[in-house]
Amino acid sequence: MTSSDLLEMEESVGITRKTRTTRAAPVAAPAIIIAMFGIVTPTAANPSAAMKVAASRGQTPDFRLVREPRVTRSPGMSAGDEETRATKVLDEALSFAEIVSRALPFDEEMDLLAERALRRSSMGQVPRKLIAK
Amino acid sequence: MSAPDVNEKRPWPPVYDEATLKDTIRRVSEGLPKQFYVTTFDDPEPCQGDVLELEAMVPVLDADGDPAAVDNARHWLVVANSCDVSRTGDTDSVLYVPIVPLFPVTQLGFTAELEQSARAYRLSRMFYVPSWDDQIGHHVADFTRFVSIHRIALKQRAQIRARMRLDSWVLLNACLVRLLCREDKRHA
Repeated sequence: MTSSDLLEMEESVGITRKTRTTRAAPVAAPAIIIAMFGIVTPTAANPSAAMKVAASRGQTPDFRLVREPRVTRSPGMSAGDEETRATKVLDEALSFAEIVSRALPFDEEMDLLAERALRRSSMGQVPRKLIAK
Repeated sequence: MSAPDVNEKRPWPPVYDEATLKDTIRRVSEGLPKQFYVTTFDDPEPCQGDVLELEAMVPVLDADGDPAAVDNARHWLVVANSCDVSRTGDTDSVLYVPIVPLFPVTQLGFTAELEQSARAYRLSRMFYVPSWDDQIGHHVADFTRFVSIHRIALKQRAQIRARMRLDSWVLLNACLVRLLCREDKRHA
């Protein structure tokens, strides 16, 4: 993926915050919604980008986790429009995930240590079954 | 940066654009903001990022696959979409919404280095929740234990103790995205 490809993807990003009005408003970015349906990594979720990256390393990309976003065709919407809309939704989700990935790196080693500390604090407790057998 | 076009023909206008989002994530994650929470709020409806007080055990499916409970939590963080929490007239369609338990940092035995990682938001499965009250210490939210709460309990039994400012909420939202979409280093 070239930097211009990335720039183009990022330009489509939008995120909404709940507005305090009488109607319900979305709070989740498309990335969250789509991620819930199976996309795990931004790179793996974009077939063309993943293909280029993998090919440059002589690897075969793994598309098992890729799933198309669900887009409902509105009345009067052509198949072409639907495809364009689906692509836009996916691009927005991917670009948001890309931004988060770059702007908010995590530390795997610290992640494991924190997980252990949290579990250690629960070790004295035996999970209490809620339904007796 | 240009202001969002509120007349844009989309269901809801974006509050900020891509540049703002990147800048906010970077700025907030570089260090705890002095003001993580709003000082006052008059909306009684819970929304994403709210700190709740509700004494309850944390339910899980145990190693046998049976429903069980372990750890007592006094505080929780709302991770549900705010719109799911505040729907009116259609309670039947969204009965349960997700929250995660908060645990005091002092109870976890974090080393100084570990706590610093948490404060810098470098932990992908936890979210650092700074003290919202002089009598309350810093906490971490455990993203590995999402719990479903009935909306009626959320509104009638849980007390909202703190509400995040927009910047803090953006960081939470980004951390939730990172939890689900984090880089797996396969192409590193």
